[in-house]
Formats: sequence, structure tokens, C-alpha cells
Amino acid sequence: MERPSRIGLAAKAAILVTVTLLVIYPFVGVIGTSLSTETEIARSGGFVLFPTDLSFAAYDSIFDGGTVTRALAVSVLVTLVGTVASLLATIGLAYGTSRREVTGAKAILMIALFTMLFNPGIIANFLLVKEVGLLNSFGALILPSLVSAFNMVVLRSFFMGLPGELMESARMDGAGDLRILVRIVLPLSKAVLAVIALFYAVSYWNAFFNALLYLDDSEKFPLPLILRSFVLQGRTLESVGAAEAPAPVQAIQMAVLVVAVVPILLVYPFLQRYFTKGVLSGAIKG
Amino acid sequence: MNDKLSRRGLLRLGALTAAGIAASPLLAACGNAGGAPAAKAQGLTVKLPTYTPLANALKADLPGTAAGVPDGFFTYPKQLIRAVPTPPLSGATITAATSTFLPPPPPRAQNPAWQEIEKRLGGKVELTIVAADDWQTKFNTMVAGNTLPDLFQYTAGQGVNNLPAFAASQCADLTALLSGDAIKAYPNLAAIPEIFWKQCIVGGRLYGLPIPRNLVGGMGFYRAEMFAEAGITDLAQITDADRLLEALKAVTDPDRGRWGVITATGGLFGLSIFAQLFGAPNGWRLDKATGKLTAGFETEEYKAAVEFVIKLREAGVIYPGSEGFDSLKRKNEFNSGKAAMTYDGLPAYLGPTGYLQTQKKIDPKADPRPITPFLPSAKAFLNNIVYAVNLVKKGDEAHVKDVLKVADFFSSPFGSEEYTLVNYGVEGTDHTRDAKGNPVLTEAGAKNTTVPWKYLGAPTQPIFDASSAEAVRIQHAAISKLIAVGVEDPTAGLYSPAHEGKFESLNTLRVDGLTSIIAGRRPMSHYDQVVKDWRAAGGDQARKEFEEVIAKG
Repeated sequence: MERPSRIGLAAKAAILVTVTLLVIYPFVGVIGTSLSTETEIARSGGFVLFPTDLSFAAYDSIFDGGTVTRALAVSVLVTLVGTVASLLATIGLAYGTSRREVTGAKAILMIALFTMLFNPGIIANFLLVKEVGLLNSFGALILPSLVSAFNMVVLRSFFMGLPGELMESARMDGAGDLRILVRIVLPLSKAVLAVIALFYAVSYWNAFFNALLYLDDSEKFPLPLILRSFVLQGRTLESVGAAEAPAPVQAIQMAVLVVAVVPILLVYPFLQRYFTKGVLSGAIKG
Repeated sequence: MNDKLSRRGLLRLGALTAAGIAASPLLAACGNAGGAPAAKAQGLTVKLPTYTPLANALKADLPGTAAGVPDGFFTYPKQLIRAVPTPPLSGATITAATSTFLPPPPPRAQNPAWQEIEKRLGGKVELTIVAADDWQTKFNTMVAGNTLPDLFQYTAGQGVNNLPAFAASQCADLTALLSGDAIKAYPNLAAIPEIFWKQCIVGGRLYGLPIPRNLVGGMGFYRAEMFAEAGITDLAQITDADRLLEALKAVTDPDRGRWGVITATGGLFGLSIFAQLFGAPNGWRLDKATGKLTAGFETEEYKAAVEFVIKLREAGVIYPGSEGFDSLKRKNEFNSGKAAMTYDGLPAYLGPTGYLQTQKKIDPKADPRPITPFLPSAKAFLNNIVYAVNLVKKGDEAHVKDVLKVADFFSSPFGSEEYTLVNYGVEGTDHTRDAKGNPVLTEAGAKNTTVPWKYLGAPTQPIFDASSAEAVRIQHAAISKLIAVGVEDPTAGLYSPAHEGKFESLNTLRVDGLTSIIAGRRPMSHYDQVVKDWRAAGGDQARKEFEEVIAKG
């Protein structure tokens, strides 16, 4: 391959640096604002890049009040339990439908795929959740979105790409279905499982709409819903009624944003190496 | 006409309603389709609750008037009155749902103010607290899922297309319980004047409980010190539109990063200020002789205001790009001195995060003030009569009465123990008294008092700001001057199915059309086309229905 010219390299570097700065700028601004005093924020029109006077008051305030810490705990719990439950359900469904010998597998697959194309809508979902008695419970944050058809298809494709001989020989050695899945299939699927786990974790971490619809008790609110109420504060559309809204403490808004973004951001580096490999391997085989 | 997009306007969930009609018979009451009872235009036929001021009401520093000017207080009363002597509930639990502009409060178990309020109530309130922007979505699911609580908030454009049918099927008719002298069973509610109760009529019956405000939303705010720098020490010096344009040009100095007017998305470049100054009608104008209605933006005054705002934009007086700001950005920029005038509702003036205190912190010389009617043509819209109306879910009479008692409790007046508890929490934990006896929230108190009790019931709103008697005087004087030239919307309290059902679409059509003209994307000659489109899209139908109701009543 031809070596790029110096000018080409410089141009690439300039573009990459610019794009990176553009991405980093708001992040630094969010962190900077969260560490500023209210007067400095007001003086600079709501956005401080580098605070002159470091203040941790916003973080003290949100961790002191209980609302954000409790929501953080709820989100961690829902994300952990939800991700594990979703993974188990998705693995079961994907493995079952990937085996040609399973009767009705195709029909079940079609039903799952149907949900990718047609959504029952908010009200039907709400009525279902209400009928099964999940309103105002954590179950309502997990069960309605337990299996994502997209993730299931990716995983199924991956399973189908595994050499059938492996399973046959295992069966000859006396392994049952469960043993084959646990001892052979899953260890070979670590990459794709890591990616799917990340997909689920991110979606559980960010989900606020189910919580908005199904939860009444603000004690059970997960972090994204709390974050939403902090961030929306003061940003409502112009109207006489909206003048009721007291101007928010902007350092607190930004501090909540940091608290909501950082934990899930920390997960990425650990799963990064599986990322491309996992998605592509599932997508192009099968 | 109110120059505002409903803050819930963006959350119209068409699919949601469609799915709901199939899924639940309840929603039949909320849509015009699906065999709902035919919606008819309806007027005011009910006897309003008799206004009965409280016998032990406090003496105000700046007294209010019968016309609706509120009481003004310089200091918080030291001796609190007890407005509800015995706990109104005997162990009962009621459910309520309301929106809030604040983050959720600490839960009951960690919130002494919450516990104390329930102790005073003698029962429990199970509250569903929803962020204001999500209220419409939540409300729609509650209706469809038949999970409406005992007491819930209603504002126009909330997604109920046939309000009388909805009220008749879902809500308790409060007429027999509150109309006329019956209101006296609830003394704090009885102290709310009739103009507020007029907002609570649905389909000719009394269904709602008002959350009163100061009648006028105001004409926005200006920075007096910036105008003074340009030689205008009193707005009264500006006697006509040309001088106003000159004054705004004089305060504009892009080199110093300062403009005459700052606006935000949906704010129509500050048109609300000028529509009122030019004397446009509030919503509609009624010709009493003929009974004919003219929509606000069909009038010459409104058109003149639009032309004036175009002149402002062309003269470079309007902060460039601010039409794309959200309201927080607009506030921030106005606070930091980037503009001399902005439109916002009067409630945004006082309090620790209001314009006055925030701007003084940034610049001690800052002197923000509410705009008062200075042009001879000025009229003030009575467009902030209530914040919202609360409806009560149908139920057995004893339970409905319990709900009313709770609303009465939260309507306790300024200076009562109950009002203090709602707004400042428990003394010692949530607030302490300063040298003048004014309550000052502690850090815990600031969080504990974010429970939106004040939206379950509220008294008439006094003007009070412990930080400055001068500020109270300014606000009191502004409201007095505004109410003196106040114009009511002649359709207030009347019901037109077309107006209610097409509230969002008509408003969007008008705001979008006017925005494109003011922004210069369309010529002024397009104005008549916007009016024509609005009329064809349901404006004429709404007019006809309102006129029929007015003719009858």
C-alpha cells in the first residue's frame, strides 16, 4: 500500500483532532459547569468550560438529598437484573430456534420477528402491564422489554454458524441439550454475548419511557427519569404557565448528567474489543 | 390571542388515542370518534360558588382590590393562623396526580414536611408526580388504563377532545357540593373569588377546582438601567410605536453583545409584548352589539404588532438566532445582560431564582422590571387566571367530599400554618426564621418542599418576597396597572368542540405562519393567507360555536 503523503497525514490529523474536539467540547462543558458556582454559570450564560472557582456543591447536594442516590441504586439494580434476565431469555430463544430439529422453531421465530416490524402501541402495552399486575413495580421496567428480537436474531445467526459437527460429537459423548449449550455453544459465543449484554445494559440504563408510563411512585424512579426531570427543568416551551418553573440550579443539572453518563461510559472500554467482532460475526453468517 | 405553544403541544400521541379507542371504552369519551356522545357548544349556566372572604384574613402591607389585584406582603406573618382546625380526613387515603417543574422530592419516609402534612390531613395522599413535559403522555395512559386518581390536573390541550363527555363519564359533578352557598362547607375554597371558578365550568356544570394565579400574565420584562443609559428613565416617556423603535435601537449595541429584545422558540420574536402594547384582543374580540367574534390575530392591532416586530428584526434589534433558543437559554442570556427586553410570565420575577435576584447577583446595577402598559393603546391579557383546573374522579359522595376537604386544606391562605407547611416545610428542620421573621429554607427544606402540594389546591396568590420590599412594591404596582387595562377572553369558560379539539393544530398553524412572516421567510402579504388557512382549518367553526353559545347566554 502506498504511504500517505505528509500533507495527507496532516489533513487527516487536523480532521481527526477537530472532530474529537467537537465531541469532547460539550463533555468538558458539562463537567466544567457541574463544578462551577451558580454566579459564574449565570455570568457566562449557562455554560462554563473551565471553572475559575471549583465547587463540588452540586455533587454534595445531589448525593445528600437521597433522590438521585436512590434512583442510581434503582438503575443499577434494574440494569443488572434486567441484563442477566434478558441474556438468559435471549440465549434460550436463540438457541432453541437455531436448532432445526426443534418442532415449531420457525413459528416461534416468526412471532419474535413480527414484534420487530409491528409494535402494539403504548396503550395496548399499558393495558397488558396493568392486567398482569405489574403497574408500579420494578418488573414493569424489565419484563416488557425482556427480549429484543434484533438481539435474538444476531445471537441465533451466530449459533447457526457454529459447526454442527461439534454438537454432534458432544451428543455422541452423551451430552444433553443443556450441557451442549453451556459447555460448548456459550464458551464459543463470548464475543457476541458480550456485545448483546452491552446492548441490553445500555438500553436498561437509558430507559425512561417505561418508567414514566408504568411507575407512579417517585421512590421507584430510575435515574434516566430523574435526569429527565432535572434537565427539562426550565426548558419548557414559552408560555405564561411555564413562567412558574423556577430557573434550575444549572450546576446540579450538569452534575446529575455526569452521574448518569459516567457509569455506563465506563463499561465500554471493557467490552470494546468484542464489539465489532461480535456484531459482524452474528450479522453476516446464517 | 395567547402567543404561546402549549407546553404539552409537542406530545400529541395520535396513535395512542387510536389504539386506546379500540382497547378501552373509556376513551370513547375522549375522542370525537367511536360513538362518543355528541359534543355540543356549551355556556355558563351554573351558579358560581359564593365568594366568602375568610374572617381571620391577614392585613396586607399593600392591600388587594376587588378587581383582582392581590395582597402584597413585605414580611412573613409572625403569628400564623390555623386555617383547618381539625384534620379533614379520618384515616382515609386519597390518590392524586399532578405535574411539576421540579425534580422529584425525597420520599415520604425521609421527608418530615410530607409526614407533617399527612398528619395534619389525618390521612394519606398517594401522589403521582410527573414532569410537566411528560404530563400529557401520563394523563393519556391513565385515562386509557382506567387508572385516573381521585384528583388530577387539567389544562387546555391535554388531549381530551370532548371535555364535557369526558367529565360526564369520568368526573364527579361538583355543582351540588360547591355552587352558591354550598361552598361555605369549605371555607378556604370559598375565599377564592368567582372569576377563578368561571374557569372550572365544563359543559354548563361545575367540575373543576381552580389553582388561582394573578389574572395577568404580564407583558414581559425590561432592564430599566439599560433604558436609563439610553436616556429613558421612565417607560412613560415612550408615547408611540416610533419612539419605542428608537428606544430599542438605542439600547442595542451588538459590539457590546447587547440587543433590544431576546426571544425563544415559539415566542414569536417577543410578539406578546407588542400585541398587548398595541391593544390586540385577548384570544377573541366580542362585538357586543352584533354578538360577532373576531379572532385576535384577525384584528388590525395584532397585524400592526406583527409589522412592528418585523421592523425590529430588520433594524437588528432582536438578538440574532434567539428564535432558536429554549427558554432556559433565553433566561440565561437576559440575566447576563445580553438584552434589554424579553417576554416571560410575571411569576418569573420574584423569588430566589427569579429575574430580580439572579440579575442583582450578576450585576448589582441590574434593574429588571415588569413592563407596564405605557402606550396609550395598551391592553393587558387576563391570561393567567388559573395555573390549571383540578378535576375529581367520580366516586361515592363521601369520598368526593374527602377529596374536596383535601383541596380545601391546600387552599389555606398565605400566613396560615398550612400554607407555611406546604411552602416552607417544618420550622427548625426545613426552614428557620431570619431576623425579620421571614422563613428561610434550609438545604434539606429546599428539597423537602418540592412535593407539588401547591398544585392540588391553592389560595389566591399574594405577592411576597422577603428579600426586598421594593420588589414587592414594583410587582404590586405592575399587576395593578396591568389589571386596570386588563381584557378578558370573551370565550373564557365557554366550550366549543372545534376549539377544544383543534386547539393544538390551530395554534401551531397560526404560530408557524406568523413565525415564517416575522422571520422574513414569507412576505407580510402572506398574513392574510395564514388567517384564511386558520379559518378553514377550524377557526371559523370554533367562532361559530362560540357565537352560538354567546347568543344563548
